[in-house]
Amino acid sequence: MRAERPPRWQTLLAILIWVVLWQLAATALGHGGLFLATPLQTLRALAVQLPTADFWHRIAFSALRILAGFVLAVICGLLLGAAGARWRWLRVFIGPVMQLIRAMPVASFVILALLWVRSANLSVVVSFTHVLPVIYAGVLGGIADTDRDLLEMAAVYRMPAVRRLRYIWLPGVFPSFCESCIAAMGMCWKSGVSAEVIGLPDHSVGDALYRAKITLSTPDVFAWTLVIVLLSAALSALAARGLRWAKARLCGEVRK
Amino acid sequence: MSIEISGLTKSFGGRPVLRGLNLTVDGPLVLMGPSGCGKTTLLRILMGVEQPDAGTVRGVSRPAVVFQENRLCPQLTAAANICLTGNGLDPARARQELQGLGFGPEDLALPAGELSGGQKRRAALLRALLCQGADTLLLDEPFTGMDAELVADAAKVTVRLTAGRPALLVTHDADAARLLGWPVVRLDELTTE
Repeated sequence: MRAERPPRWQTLLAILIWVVLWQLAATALGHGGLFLATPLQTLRALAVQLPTADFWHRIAFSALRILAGFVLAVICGLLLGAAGARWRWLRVFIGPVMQLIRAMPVASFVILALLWVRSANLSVVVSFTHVLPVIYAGVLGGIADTDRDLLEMAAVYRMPAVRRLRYIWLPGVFPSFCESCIAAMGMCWKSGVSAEVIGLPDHSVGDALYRAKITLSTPDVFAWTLVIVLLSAALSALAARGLRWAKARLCGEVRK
Repeated sequence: MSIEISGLTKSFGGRPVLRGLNLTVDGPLVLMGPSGCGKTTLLRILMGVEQPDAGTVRGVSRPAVVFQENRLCPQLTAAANICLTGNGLDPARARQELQGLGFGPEDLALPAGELSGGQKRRAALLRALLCQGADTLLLDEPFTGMDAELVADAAKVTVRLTAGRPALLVTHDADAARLLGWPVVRLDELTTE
């Protein structure tokens, strides 16, 4: 059973309650927000950062690389998923690698990746490797979920391959593919910024987060974390909207 | 053009369903018989998705089919579904035939997934009947989910659009078989050891 989506006001109320709890916890801990910055301190730190060119430069630097890794992983995940569904031996062959990547800690991957690429491109590799297994599994699942009865109908009617792809395979694969893309969008930000915190490429969000930590500037840590969360959420929402649009166009959905 | 079926045998898990069936279909034919006597199995062999254990089938090269299930693409309209397999069928023709079977303008605009069971069945029937270039019609219970009035209309359309092509129509509904006016064959009486 699919959980019903709560009304927007309920979600906003829940967020508000959490912010109040956050404020109370930060006030209780005291020490001027050293251990836990207050929401106001966080917003103030963000307000200081927002007008600076350095802030936007860091956002662009990290976003570009993390999203490049994401896009590459989506392309490779689609191709490998389709090939894996077609050829069982390939699925068996790829399976252990995907399992290994899923289980590997980001830190291990970053240390290894630092031997292969410059730290500036670290987040591309880490984002790619963390997104790939998710997309691969999503595509495989979507292909398995595709309506066999419709495929049989298409075979009997000798429907051309392009039409089968557009009207049967794509609608079958899309739900699982979309879910995996949206989940992976959040994951790529987490893994990408984690990689930057370890690899410390200049002008990255991860580097800024690390600097805030070593200077004990907790409000800055919170501000950067908030930026990452908001960016991830905004891009996930954008991806969901884009994918819905693409599905409607590609699969010939009737517009009501 | 005719369908020639000779010595057709098929078993599932050791249980024989068709036993040495011989049948020649020159034109439209209604196939009746009790459940489990192999009607659907015979159609599935004719459409090439099931392999017989023994025997041969000749004369089916481009079948148009109504399956037991409707098998419509749920995101497309009924007319778009019909045109999808129509081999260049004019969408206006598909809409016109759908209107003839009781589709209103709103129904024509709905995706197939939101149509009623009877509407889906009518769309599935028209998809088979309007498939251009089809040399054989294989119709498995095409009137399921329709009321008596609609069955009468659908039967008329089926007769008109079959246009004398070899057709095998499986039904349990003796009234529908009468409305079609096609020869009726009982499969359980045809099947021999």
